[in-house]
Amino acid sequence: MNRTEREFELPFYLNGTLPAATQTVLERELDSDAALALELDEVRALREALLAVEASAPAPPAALLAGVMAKIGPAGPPRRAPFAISSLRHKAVAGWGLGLGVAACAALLLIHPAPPASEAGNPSPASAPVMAKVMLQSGDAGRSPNRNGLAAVLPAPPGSLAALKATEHSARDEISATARQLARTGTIGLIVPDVTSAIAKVQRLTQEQFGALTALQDDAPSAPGGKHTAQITVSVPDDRFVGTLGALAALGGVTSRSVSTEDLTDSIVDDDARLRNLRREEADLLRIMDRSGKIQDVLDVEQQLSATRQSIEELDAEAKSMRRRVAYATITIDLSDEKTVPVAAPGPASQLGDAWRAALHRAAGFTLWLAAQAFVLIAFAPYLGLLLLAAYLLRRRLSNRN
Amino acid sequence: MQARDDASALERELLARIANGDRTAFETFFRAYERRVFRYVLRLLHDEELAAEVASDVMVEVWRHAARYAGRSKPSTWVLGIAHHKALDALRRNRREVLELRLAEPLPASADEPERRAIESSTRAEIETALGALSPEHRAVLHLTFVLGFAQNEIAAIVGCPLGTVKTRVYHAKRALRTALASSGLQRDAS
Repeated sequence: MNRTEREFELPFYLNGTLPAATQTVLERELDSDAALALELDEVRALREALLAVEASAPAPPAALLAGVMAKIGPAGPPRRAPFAISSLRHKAVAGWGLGLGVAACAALLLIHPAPPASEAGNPSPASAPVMAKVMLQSGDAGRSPNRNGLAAVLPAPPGSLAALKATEHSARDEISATARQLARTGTIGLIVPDVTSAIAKVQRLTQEQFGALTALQDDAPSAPGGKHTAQITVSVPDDRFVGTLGALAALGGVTSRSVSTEDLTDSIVDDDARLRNLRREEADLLRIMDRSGKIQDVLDVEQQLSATRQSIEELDAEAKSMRRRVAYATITIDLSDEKTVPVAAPGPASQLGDAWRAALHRAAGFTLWLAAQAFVLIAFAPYLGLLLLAAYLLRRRLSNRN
Repeated sequence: MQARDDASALERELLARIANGDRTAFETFFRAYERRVFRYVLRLLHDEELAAEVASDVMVEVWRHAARYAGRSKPSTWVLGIAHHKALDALRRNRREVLELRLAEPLPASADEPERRAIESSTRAEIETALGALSPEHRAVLHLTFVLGFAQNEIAAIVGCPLGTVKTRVYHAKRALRTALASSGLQRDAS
């Protein structure tokens, strides 16, 4: 082993991954070769510098997991049968498939001859979507379907309408290739022998399903014979939604059950595209601010930057909320007691007491009615006075005639 | 070494469960790898937003193709291999923007250590600038060797090149970094 080869091994000696035999040989060399030992010190210093830089490197964004979970969607397991084109058989199948595809394309071209030269570079509106799709698949997204001229090879500028559309389309394609973004909610009504223990069971079940209890309203009966009811809202990972509903149904008698789904795919794609563009805009503004010399210019850009950042924060919060709704389904459980407390038969004293209370209640009611009538009388007294006066005057005139 | 083997065994088991669609296993696996993957990709791309996108793609790939993991290498080698190739793809796609606008910028500092950042800011910035001057391939091998502590054959599997190339690449990357640091006056402190 020459000197350079020994130097090759030093980084791996320091990170402890050298095979034991090589390590022993190298240690022996280090003892006898002062220059190599010096080199080792230098490599160690570099390593420490890199580790120090790494220690203060930024952490991954908090929303990374939520984003990935939304991307993989609520759909079941990933593709289980690996399609590794490693064996000769698979290669042969792929080759035959490719050959047949090429032959089919050639046959189609023969049946439908190519349009005249003037049309070839300017596709009809009907063929444009097909061509756009083909270009997207072949990695030419963002380029104009018109192959003549410089514009054909220039990518759309970031932030432009074309770029926004391209981002939206690619995001939509990506999302539809995985799964629709569905937010599911369910309700289930249950009659249970004991609501209190049912609440505890629901809590336990939710924990087992890696969910969380988000709301609980426990209405214990205030009077004997009343029903004990409770409403619980839980949030569970979307892939455990159906399983959780099934497990809940086993807790008691099901009185009602409903499931609803909201498709948030378009909203999520739109929000993502808008966020991406706003972040580009933010980066552009920051660069402009770095270049701006005049204070007024800096202030103007700062104001615009503040507005952009506010939009980013709002949109980000909205997007996070939607992704959470997709990742976690909500289930509302209405619990109701099946037993009622038996009412004891009333005794004579209780009956007399009830009669006395009823009499008092009626007397109070009558007194109130009388008072109300008196108020009515007082309120209508002026009209009554006028009527009496008119009657008196009429009677007097009649008596004068007589 | 025993702890590493235990971790690998656990990760293999998690991958087997992920292949069967176990989302809980995926979340555990994700938590174990998100920092390593994100920082490795960030080291190559020098763009936090892009690094987050690529890291997200890497983990989606793990979810989709966990069944392809044959167990011949360590799970970390497999995952970092995906991250390496995704990052290089992203770098190729964004080459103009990344190289012209962002490569020379130092990485943003972590917000959770303001005092340490204040003390180390000058040194850190110089090291970042020196790393930014290296090629992505050199940055990759330095990170894999010194920060993530991979062996030569593992690095060869991650970056997809022969063992000999790894040795020479680490050697030249080390020299290039040292030269870049020397030019910024840091060499004396580093040694």
